[in-house]
Amino acid sequence: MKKSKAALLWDLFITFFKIGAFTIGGGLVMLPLIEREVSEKKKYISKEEIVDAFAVSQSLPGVIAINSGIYIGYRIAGIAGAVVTAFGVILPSFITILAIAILFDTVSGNVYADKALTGVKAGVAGVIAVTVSRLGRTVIRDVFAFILAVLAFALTIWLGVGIVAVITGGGLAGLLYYHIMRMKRHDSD
Amino acid sequence: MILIRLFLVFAKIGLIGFGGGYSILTIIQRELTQRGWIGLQEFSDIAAISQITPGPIAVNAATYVGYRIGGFWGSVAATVGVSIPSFILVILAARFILKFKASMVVESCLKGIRPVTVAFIASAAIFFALGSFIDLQAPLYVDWGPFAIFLWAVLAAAFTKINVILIVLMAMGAGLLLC
Repeated sequence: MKKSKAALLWDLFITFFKIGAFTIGGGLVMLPLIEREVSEKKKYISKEEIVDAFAVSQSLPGVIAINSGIYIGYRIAGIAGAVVTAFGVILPSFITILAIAILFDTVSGNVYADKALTGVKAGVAGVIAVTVSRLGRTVIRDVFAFILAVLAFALTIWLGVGIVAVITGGGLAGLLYYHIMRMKRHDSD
Repeated sequence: MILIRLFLVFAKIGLIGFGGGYSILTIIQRELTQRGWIGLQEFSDIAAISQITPGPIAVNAATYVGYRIGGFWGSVAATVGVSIPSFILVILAARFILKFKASMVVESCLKGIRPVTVAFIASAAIFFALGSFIDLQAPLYVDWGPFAIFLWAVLAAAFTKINVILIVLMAMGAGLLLC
């Protein structure tokens, strides 16, 4: 049975509310959550599209978590979907920070916060590593894609090349290689 | 009026803020301290709080700063402002991709973009790890507490059905005990 639009929107809102509530320490943290919740469990979109959403979110200005929420929401349920996912991602922050700002006159980072953040970073690095290997198996299907991935990894890690340059390079390389391959196949037919 | 100014300043931040949370924090700092809206010391506290509270870093910072400057409606103005440019740009990009997905040219580009995006995310995971258990100044020294948390998270995510949210929460608890 197909879900009604309202039920779908509500489900998107709840899912992204959860994602917003547990995005601690930066937008990439939500990648494993999105992969599990939106793709693996609910099958709303494919793994390829999650990677597309992240490519778009990182190359455009703006908050990565909001960008990917909007992309995925729009993809699943149009403009209304984009509105509920953005709202869902933002709301937990909004409530928590407002509560903190109202309750405490001044805020300051303390030693417990540092420890908790160190633990979160280590745990998140582990979870992202596993998600990357899953997504990698889906999108790296031939030797050329593998070479591109290794090259991009090396360039970002050692030379600090930015995401926009990497994505532009990957797009151009893909265009040249896969297009030429297709033309060749076409010729030999 | 302060609400409209807050909205416009944060819309500008959303529009020029490439590179996600940490780089947006730098832009927020520049924009606000230049205007004398917030002092450097208070900003560094806001930055710390934004990183450890749930939610995207830049949204946290926008909400907090907005509240300090304009109360409840100030936080609404700042948060909506920082998100508005995303709305327009991302939906345009998504429409473009959907429309031309069937085109061979765009599909070829996407086939090149996907592997490099995954590689980029892998390098981001390494930067996350850098902040917790690897020190670039002394690469042979490993901080065992966070490293153990990292390994445990890998195993839990790869081989068990434990919810990702639970893994992150347990890592946080373990951080308090071990780090």
